[in-house]
Amino acid sequence: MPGFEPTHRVWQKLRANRAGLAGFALVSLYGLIALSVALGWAGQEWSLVSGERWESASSEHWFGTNQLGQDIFQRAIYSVRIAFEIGLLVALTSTLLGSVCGAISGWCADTWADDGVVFITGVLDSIPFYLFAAAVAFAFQASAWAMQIAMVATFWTTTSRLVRAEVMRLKNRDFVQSALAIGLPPHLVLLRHVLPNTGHILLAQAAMVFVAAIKTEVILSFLGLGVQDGVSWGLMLAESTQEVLVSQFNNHLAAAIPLLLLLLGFNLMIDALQDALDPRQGSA
Amino acid sequence: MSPTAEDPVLAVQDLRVTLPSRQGRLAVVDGVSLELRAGEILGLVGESGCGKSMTGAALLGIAPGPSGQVSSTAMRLGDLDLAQLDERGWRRIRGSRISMVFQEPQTALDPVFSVGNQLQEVIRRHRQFNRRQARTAAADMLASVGFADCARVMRCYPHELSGGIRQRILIAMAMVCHPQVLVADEPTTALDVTTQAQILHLLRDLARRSGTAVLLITHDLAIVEAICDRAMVMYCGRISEEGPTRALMQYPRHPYTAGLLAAMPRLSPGQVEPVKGIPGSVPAPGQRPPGCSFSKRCERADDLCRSQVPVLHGADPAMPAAVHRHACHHPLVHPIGSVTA
Ligand SMILES: Nc1ncnc2c1ncn2[C@@H]1O[C@H](COP(=O)(O)OP(=O)(O)O)[C@@H](O)[C@H]1O
Ligand code: SF4
Ligand SMILES: [Mg+2]
Repeated sequence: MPGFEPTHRVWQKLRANRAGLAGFALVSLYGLIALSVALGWAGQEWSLVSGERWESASSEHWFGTNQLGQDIFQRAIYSVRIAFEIGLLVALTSTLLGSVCGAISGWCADTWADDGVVFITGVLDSIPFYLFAAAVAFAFQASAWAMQIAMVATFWTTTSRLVRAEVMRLKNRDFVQSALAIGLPPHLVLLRHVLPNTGHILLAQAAMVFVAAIKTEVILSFLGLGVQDGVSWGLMLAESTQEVLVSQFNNHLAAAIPLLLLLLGFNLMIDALQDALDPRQGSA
Repeated sequence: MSPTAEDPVLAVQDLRVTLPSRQGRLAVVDGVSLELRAGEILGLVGESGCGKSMTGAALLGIAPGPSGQVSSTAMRLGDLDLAQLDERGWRRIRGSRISMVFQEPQTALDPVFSVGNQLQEVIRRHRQFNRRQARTAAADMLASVGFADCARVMRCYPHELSGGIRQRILIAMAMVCHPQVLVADEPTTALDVTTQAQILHLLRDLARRSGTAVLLITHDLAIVEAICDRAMVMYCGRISEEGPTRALMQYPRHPYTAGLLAAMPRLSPGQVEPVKGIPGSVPAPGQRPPGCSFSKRCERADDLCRSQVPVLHGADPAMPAAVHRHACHHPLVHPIGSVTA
C-alpha cells in the first residue's frame, strides 16, 4: 500500500522489537498451517473415524483420538483454517465498514450523516455482546453466516469511532487544506490524503478484530451458536467437557494450547505494529 | 481592448465572508476590494484574528466550513469571471491559476506520500501529462526553487526534511502550474530568521521571473517592508489603509497602521524607546463596536467614530486617490512637503 510510512523505517522499528518478531513468526506459522489446510495438503481427515475411542498419542495419531475415534491432531489442524477464515472475513469486513462509516462521519461531523453513524454505533455498543451474538445466531439459524454477521455488526463500531476521531483531527491539518487548494474534490481528498493517514489505526484495529473474532468463534462454537458443519477449537472444547470427566485431556489440550499460543502471538505482533506504524512517531 | 501591463490580473470588489452565529450571520471579511497586477507583491497585514486568512481562502473560492459563505459584487481573474464559477469550475482554477501556500510547512505536506508524489499529483490534476512528463515538470520546478539534487528530493518523505525545505517544496507545488495569482498565508511565520529571508527572496524572485502576482499575508510589517510593492492593512475584516509600501510605512494615515508601526521592533541605531504595543486586542467578530471598529482602542476616537463607519478613500490632495487610501475620520497628518507621491 502506498499509504504507509517509508517501508524501510517500519521494518527498522519492527526488527528492533524482539517480542514483536516472535509474535510475527508464530502468527506466520499458523498462517502457513491454515494455508496448507485450505489447499488440501493437511488436516483433511478431521471427520474420518480412523481409530478406537480415546487412543493415546502414537505415531499414527499424534495427539490420540477422541470419543468417536477421530484423529485429534487432524481436527486441531483443521481448526486453524476455520479460525483464520473467520478471523480474516470478519476483520476485513468490519475494517471496511468501520473505515467507510467512520471517515464519512468524521468528515461530515455535525451533519445528519454523522449523527446517523454515531447513533447506530451507540445503539450497537449498548447491547451486551454475547446476548447480541446469541440473538443474531438464533435469528439467522438457517444461515452459515449468522456468527460472522453478529461479529461484524459488533466489531465495526470501534473501528468506526477511532477512524472518525482521527479524521476529525486530520481534516483541520494544513495538508488537507492544501489538497483542497490544489483543486481536489472533497471525496478524493478524503480517499487519497485522509484515509491513508489512518492506515496505522486500520491495520492495528484489523489485527485486533481478527483476534477478537477467533476468540469469539471459540466461545460461540462452545455454546453451540458458532461453527455448524466443520470443526473448531470451540467444538473440540465442547466435546472435551465430557472427556475430562473421565480423565481424557488430549482433546482439551489440543484445542486450548494452540488457541492460547495464537492469541499470544497476535498480541505481541499487534503491540509491535502499533509502535512501528504510527506516523506521528516518525515525524519531526 | 487588449490587456496592458496596467490591467490587474485579479480584481475583486466588495468581498464578504460570512459565518452563522446566534446573532445572525457575521461578516468576518466585510467588503474588501483589491487589485493585483502581474509580478506584483501585495502585503496584507494585520493582527491575528483580523480576517486575513479568510480573505486569502476566499480568493480561491474556499469558504470557512460548510456553513460559511463567500460573496462579492465582482471578481475577475484575467478575462475569467470568477463570480460565475460553480464549485467544479473553482476546482479547475485552484492550484492551476490561483494557488496557495500555507503557514505550517510541518503539516502542509501529507506525511505518507513522497515529495515527488505530491508534486506530480498537482500537475496531473491540471495538465494532461503522462507520468514521465509530470516527473520532468516536477523536477524542473524543484530546480527553479533552488534544489540541486531534484531526484533525491522527490524521493524524500516530509519528515525527512527541515521546515525551510518543506516550505520551498510547498512553494514549488503552488507554482508548478504557473498560476497567475499566488496567495501566501504567513509563509515564513513558522521559520527561523535566516530561512525566512531565503523564502521571502525566493517568493520575490519567482514573482518577478514568472509574472505571478503574490498576495502575501502576514502580521509582520518588517516582511512587508522587505518585499512588498504595496500593502493593505486589515482590521476586523475591513481594509483600514492601503498604499505603496514606502508611503504607507513612512506616512501612515490610519491610527491602526501607526500603532502597528510603533509596535514593530526596529534595529535602527536611533531607537532607544521600548516598543509599545496597541492597547487592547482585536474584538471577536460578534463583539465589534458600531462605527469604526478600531474606536475602542483608538486615542483619537470621538462620537463620529463611534457612530459612523469610515470608508476607504484618499482625501489627501497631495496623494492621488487611487494610490494611498485610508478609512479614518481623523487621520494622522504629516508636515506639508514631507509627503511625496
Ligand atoms: N471556523 C470558524 N468559526 C467561527 N469563527 C471563526 C472560524 N475561524 C475563524 N474564525 C474567526 O474569524 C476571524 C478571522 O480569522 P482569520 O481569517 O483566521 O484571521 P487571521 O488570519 O487574520 O488571523 C477571527 O476573528 C476568528 O475568530
Ligand atoms: S475613525 Fe476614529 S476611531 Fe477609527 S481609527 Fe479613525 S480616529 Fe480612530
Ligand atoms: Mg491567519
